[in-house]
Amino acid sequence: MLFQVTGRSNIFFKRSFILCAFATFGIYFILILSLFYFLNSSTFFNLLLSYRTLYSLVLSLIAASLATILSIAIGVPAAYALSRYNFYGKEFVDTILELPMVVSPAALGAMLLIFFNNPIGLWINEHLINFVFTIAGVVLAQFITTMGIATRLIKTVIDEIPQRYENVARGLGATPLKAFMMITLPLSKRGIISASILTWAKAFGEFGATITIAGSMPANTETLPIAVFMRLSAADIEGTVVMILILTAIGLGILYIYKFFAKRFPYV
Amino acid sequence: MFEIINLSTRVENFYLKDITFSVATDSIHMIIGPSGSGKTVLLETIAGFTTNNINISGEVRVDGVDVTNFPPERRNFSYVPQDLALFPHLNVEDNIFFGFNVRNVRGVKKVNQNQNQNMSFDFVIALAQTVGISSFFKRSIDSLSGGERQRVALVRALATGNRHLLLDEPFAGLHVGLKKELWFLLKEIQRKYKLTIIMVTHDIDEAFFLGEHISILIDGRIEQSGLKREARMPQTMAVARFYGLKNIFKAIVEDYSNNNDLNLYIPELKLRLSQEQLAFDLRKVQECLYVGIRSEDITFYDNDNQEAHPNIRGKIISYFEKDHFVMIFFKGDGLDTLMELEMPYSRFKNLGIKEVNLNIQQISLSIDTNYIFPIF
Repeated sequence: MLFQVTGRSNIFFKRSFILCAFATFGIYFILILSLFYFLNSSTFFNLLLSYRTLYSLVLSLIAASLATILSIAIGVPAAYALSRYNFYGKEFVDTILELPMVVSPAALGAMLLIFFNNPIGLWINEHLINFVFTIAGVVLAQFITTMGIATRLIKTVIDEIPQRYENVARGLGATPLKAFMMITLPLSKRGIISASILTWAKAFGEFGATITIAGSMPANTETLPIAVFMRLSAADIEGTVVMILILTAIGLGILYIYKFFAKRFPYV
Repeated sequence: MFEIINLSTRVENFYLKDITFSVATDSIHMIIGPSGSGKTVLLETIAGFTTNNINISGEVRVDGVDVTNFPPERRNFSYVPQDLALFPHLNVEDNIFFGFNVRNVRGVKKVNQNQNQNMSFDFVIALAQTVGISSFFKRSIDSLSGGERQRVALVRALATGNRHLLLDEPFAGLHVGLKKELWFLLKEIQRKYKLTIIMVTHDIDEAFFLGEHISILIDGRIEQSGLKREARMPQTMAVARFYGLKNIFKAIVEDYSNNNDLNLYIPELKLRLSQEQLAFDLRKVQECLYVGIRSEDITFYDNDNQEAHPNIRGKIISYFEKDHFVMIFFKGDGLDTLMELEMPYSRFKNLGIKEVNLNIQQISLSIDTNYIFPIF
């Protein structure tokens, strides 16, 4: 009898928790499904294949990719340093990584805009690259938003790799750089790829900082998330729906493909 | 040859204090101690993994060269940690040849040029055959059994050509049979390749089997260090406790005999015995000290023996059979103190002690005073 009661409560526990898991899926799925209420197949393809939409799509893909490359390029060594070394100011560095999380994206964009109105920022705009209301500004906004997150994600990956591997490699004759390249990097490869995809997804969907620094000029600095906002502002519901569907399909599609391959090839 | 001279360090709140010992070339020096005594910290400090730690003082010398400030890759000794740290993304072959690859050595001929380090492809293959891993070079690390992993780790450490090894409990967690097999293997390759090894363990059997010299590390300090036969006799109370020594008694110096031997009286055993004063240091008359005797150094007789050693008559209170010996608790007539003894099972059986005779059957035990040692 006791066994039965325990068995039933176990099943209830398991099923109620699985129900919550499905609830998360259901809530998001209903939101996605509701988009189709305003969708008309003929206008969908017209909107999808329009120059303005394709421009936004290509700009979003390229800008997110560049921002991700930059974030990972600085994030990997930064994360390694934070994970392995003790140095003066480490706590400050570690804390400021969360800046994009604690201030809103719009505030982050405003900070960028203010910086480029300072003497140093003005000099950079005039003599190096102009970031204000340009495509370079789009990449910069996405890079600034994702750099901290990418570093934090990669640090978690490196933290989980025991330092003993590197120690043993050094004992076998490897320099710190070789130990990093031949041991730490291959062991963290999967985690870094995972972090890159999440970083890319975050950059791809970035809105607040981008619109603040780069503006919202169609066929210039208008990324997909900005296009969603612009079309909604103009009461173009069908256009808004198409933009959201492209964003959702690409974002979730890439994450799903990654999960599929990660399961089949665990050491990739 | 390893020489560790006054090595001290601090890692967070743990202190390693003034460690000094030396390891002769072509020998194994075992460091034993309880968990948390600093064994791994000591090994990592010797290996140089804490060179950025500003709290290190003292010297580490290898064959006369002071390597204290050298990075690990320039110290020329291989380190095998407790979990072996076999690289999971590389197969057995790539693990073994990792040392070759990082040194940018390409091809057999080039390898052979480094004769002084005895590094050659043929050497590694021969080593792998000796250790019995040559048949699974292409296997992944995940697919290896416990014993195979240990063998791969040993070959990887030696394949670099390093003849100085630091081993951090590499056989922990293995079952007894496999452990013994690997002890013999380690002894064999140590003798064959003339290795100089510092190995830490908390397993006393392992330490005494493998080591020629033994140091006992307790609370970050070497409590005792010496040859195996010297290490059998704990010199301090901390070591005695670590060994689990039960037969510790307070003794009083009664006087000195004509040949300057020390006459001791142990009130708990009502026992008088004479000891060479040299081993006990110079003691004053009436001074108290502690003495101990290992449980396996006490002999049993089923009647009064005629030997010169002091006898204590009494009864067996209880006994516990273990795999190859019997642990016995003995109480002398008129004494309050229990003594712990050990003897092989076959010998115990010959004594004819049965459960029903406990506390009844009179028996004598004999203490060879040569095995009584002072605890400072």
